[in-house]
Amino acid sequence: MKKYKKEISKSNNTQGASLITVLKPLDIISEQFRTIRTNIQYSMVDKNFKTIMITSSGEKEGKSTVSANLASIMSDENKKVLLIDADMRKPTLHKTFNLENTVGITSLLTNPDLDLASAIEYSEIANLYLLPVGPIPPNPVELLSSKSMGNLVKKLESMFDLIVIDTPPVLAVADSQVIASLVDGTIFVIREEVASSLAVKKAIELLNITGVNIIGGIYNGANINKREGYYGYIRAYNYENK
Amino acid sequence: MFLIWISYFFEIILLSILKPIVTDFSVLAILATIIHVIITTIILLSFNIKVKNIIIWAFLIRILFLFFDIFGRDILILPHSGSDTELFYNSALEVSTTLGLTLDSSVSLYSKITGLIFKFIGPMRIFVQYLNVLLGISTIYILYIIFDKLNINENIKYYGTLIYSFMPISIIMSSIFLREAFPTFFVSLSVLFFTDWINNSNKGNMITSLIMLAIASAFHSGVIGIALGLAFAYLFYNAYTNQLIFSKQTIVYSVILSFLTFIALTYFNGTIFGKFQGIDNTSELFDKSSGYGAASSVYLAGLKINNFFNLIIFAPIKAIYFYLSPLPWNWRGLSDLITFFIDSVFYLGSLIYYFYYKNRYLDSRKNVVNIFLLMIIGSGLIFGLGVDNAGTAMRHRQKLLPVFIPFLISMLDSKIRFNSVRKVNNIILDTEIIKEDKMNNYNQWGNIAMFSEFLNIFKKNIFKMLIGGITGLIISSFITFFIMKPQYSSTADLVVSEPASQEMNLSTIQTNFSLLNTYEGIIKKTNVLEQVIEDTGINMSVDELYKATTVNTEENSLLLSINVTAESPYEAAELANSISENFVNEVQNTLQVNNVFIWNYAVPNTSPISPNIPFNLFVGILLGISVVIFYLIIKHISDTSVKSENIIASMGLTTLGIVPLMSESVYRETVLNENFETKVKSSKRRIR
Repeated sequence: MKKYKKEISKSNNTQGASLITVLKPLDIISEQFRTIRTNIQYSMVDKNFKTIMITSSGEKEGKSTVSANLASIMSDENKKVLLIDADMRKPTLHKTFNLENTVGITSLLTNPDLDLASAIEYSEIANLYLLPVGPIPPNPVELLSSKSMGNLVKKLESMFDLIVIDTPPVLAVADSQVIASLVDGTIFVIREEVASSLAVKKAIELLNITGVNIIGGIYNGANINKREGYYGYIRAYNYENK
Repeated sequence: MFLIWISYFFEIILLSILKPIVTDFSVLAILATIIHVIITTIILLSFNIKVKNIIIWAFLIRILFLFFDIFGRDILILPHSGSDTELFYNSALEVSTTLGLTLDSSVSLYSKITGLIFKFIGPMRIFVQYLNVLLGISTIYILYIIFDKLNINENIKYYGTLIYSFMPISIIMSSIFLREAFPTFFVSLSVLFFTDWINNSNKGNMITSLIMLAIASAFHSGVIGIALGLAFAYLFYNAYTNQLIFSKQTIVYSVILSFLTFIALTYFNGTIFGKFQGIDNTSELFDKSSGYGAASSVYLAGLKINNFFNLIIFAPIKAIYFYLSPLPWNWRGLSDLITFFIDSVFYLGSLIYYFYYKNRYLDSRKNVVNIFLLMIIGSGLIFGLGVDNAGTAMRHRQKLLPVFIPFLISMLDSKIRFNSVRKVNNIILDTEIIKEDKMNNYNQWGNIAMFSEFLNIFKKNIFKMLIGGITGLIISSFITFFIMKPQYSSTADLVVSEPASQEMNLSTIQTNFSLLNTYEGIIKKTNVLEQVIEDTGINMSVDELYKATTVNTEENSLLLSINVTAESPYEAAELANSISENFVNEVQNTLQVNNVFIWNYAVPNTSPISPNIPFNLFVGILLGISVVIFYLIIKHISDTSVKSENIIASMGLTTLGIVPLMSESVYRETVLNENFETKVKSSKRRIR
């Protein structure tokens, strides 16, 4: 089981994340993303969330997959959604959407005069606006904590209905804590048998110190075949395979 | 917990059935213990309480000490093990051979119980010590329940359990051949029922608590001092309203009760004070208490108690020494210093803490804490009189830990409560947490679900276990066939008898019996064995031959059998015969008696006694499998990876959703940069 999971994670790094909500919209997993969308919207009722950040305690927990699919499912409701890849250590967005990673968020941050339109791309099939990392910088934390980052986020907020930001793991680097202070809400991804419960606890403590509003957690990679009850219900509604 | 005990008794019964069948019983006993250790670990793992990991580690460390105590004696004898444990071992052996002793009141209860176990399964000290380990971990579990009944904060509960689990004295006491584990266990039960009584003021609980205390004091009378606290609580403390009430009625009762106690102490202390055996009256008790300290770490040696007045003055001083020694001015070296810091400090700390926080933090739990203190004072006074060296004190005060730890823990908890009074939010949170904890703890049958999870782990790893078994088989067969040399044994029989001419009466038979013992010694003396080596010309040292030879005398018979084990059957027989001949010569020449005859010469027996091939292979397989199981268990404990979505809720977050695991084929189908165009075309349908 573990071997197989590692295989997936490895391929994630070379091939990008799965776009299951785009390519298999009736799959059980896409159905779950729709549930997540509803739950987020409920928690957004009285607040005006414009920017959401996706993070996790450690690596390979499915941040990129969750953020890409969540963004695309959000855009289904005729919303103008921008997906930003802020993981400047291991960028994945350009792989996921088959983009050239020559211009991106780092270009916008280092060169404030650059036109936004030259960095943001539009993906037709996912109905998403995308902002990849661009050239990998030597000093991501300084870049993210710079004033221009705050300005950029504000500018983008005025242009889009929703911004989803994919970030590096909380415990590995300080990047996500920096980004967390700029966004309206954070979603925490926890992957079965990959995340360590101690690490999760530590990461959430760290986020709480920064005074971040954590919208909630998404449990990823649940092995539904070995469970009963609620999961059996999910399994029964897997139309795609019927 | 019950499951563990049931399986233990089941194992004893099984072993008593197997006993006549199996030849190498000691190895089987070790194996049986290892198997039960595994069973217990699994059962403990399936516990649904937060401290289960502490209990497991406490259990494993006690097992380690147990094996070290039995097999590591050549390297280091554990403190407190040694002459005392051998005394208990021997008296247990005595009881097992003559069952009549179980009714004899001068034999201690512990010897009776161990004697009975020995009777059933033979003199296997490992079983009795293992029983102590089980009692030790049961005590930890009971302590945890006590904390729970006292509504202690979860973190503090954790520390309380930690203290008892890893206090060196409690580890040692519950792994060596001493009785201490029994009274400690019953004291903890007594405290448990006492806390029950606090919660529901049901008389039955109080009576059960007293009964448990009585059982504990049957093992060791000193703990009866705890009754002071219980009696006080019963008379003056109204658990329902949490108030101390001193009415005329209760005071009259207490006067009558103390009068009765005084009479009992004066007239019956021969039976009540079972610990001070052979003491008939109070004055002698004082003598013994002051002159008892033959051991090294004596304190207050000059303090003599001669009359009642002295008793009143010195008893409290002795009680303080009992709890706190070795005190700094009595230190003789590094070991005393270490003892002080790993043992006395705990008691000192709790008592100082009491005085320091008495007026600050003790809130609604004040009365309960005071009752605990009375228990401590009562038993301290009694133990203090009987003990006057630090080593013994350490051993005896360990029995009061089930009182001491709840005492300290309640005070610490009160402090937390006091601090949280200022933050109303915290209190609400606290009570919520308590509610949640209670739900977790009382969900006893929820354990079964966890249990099946463990079965699942074994099911999943059955292949690994198989490999473990096969590896064990290969290693053990390699050892049996290539490394172990086959051993053969031969026996020669001798008979000790007076020549027929002499009158056979009871006294000559008696003489022969005592001679038998002498002969047994002579056979294995150096000059006989040296002569044998010279005669047979065998390449063996005297020491080796000594080890290879065993002399058996059967009970109530005049037969002496000499058994020799050697690497060839002929050699064994030759040696046995040579020893017999030389021995007969030796007796005739030196003792000038002519009453030993060789009855039966040893004949070569070509079937080896060792290695016992099927047995060794079986042991190999079993050991291989157990090593794998241990590995799996340790891996499971140390595995902190997330197993269920409950973690999100437990972190105080909203669960937004559960994304099932993506299979590899689905991933390949949905990743964009493989066959990009076809995928884009195929994604026509979209739900909006």
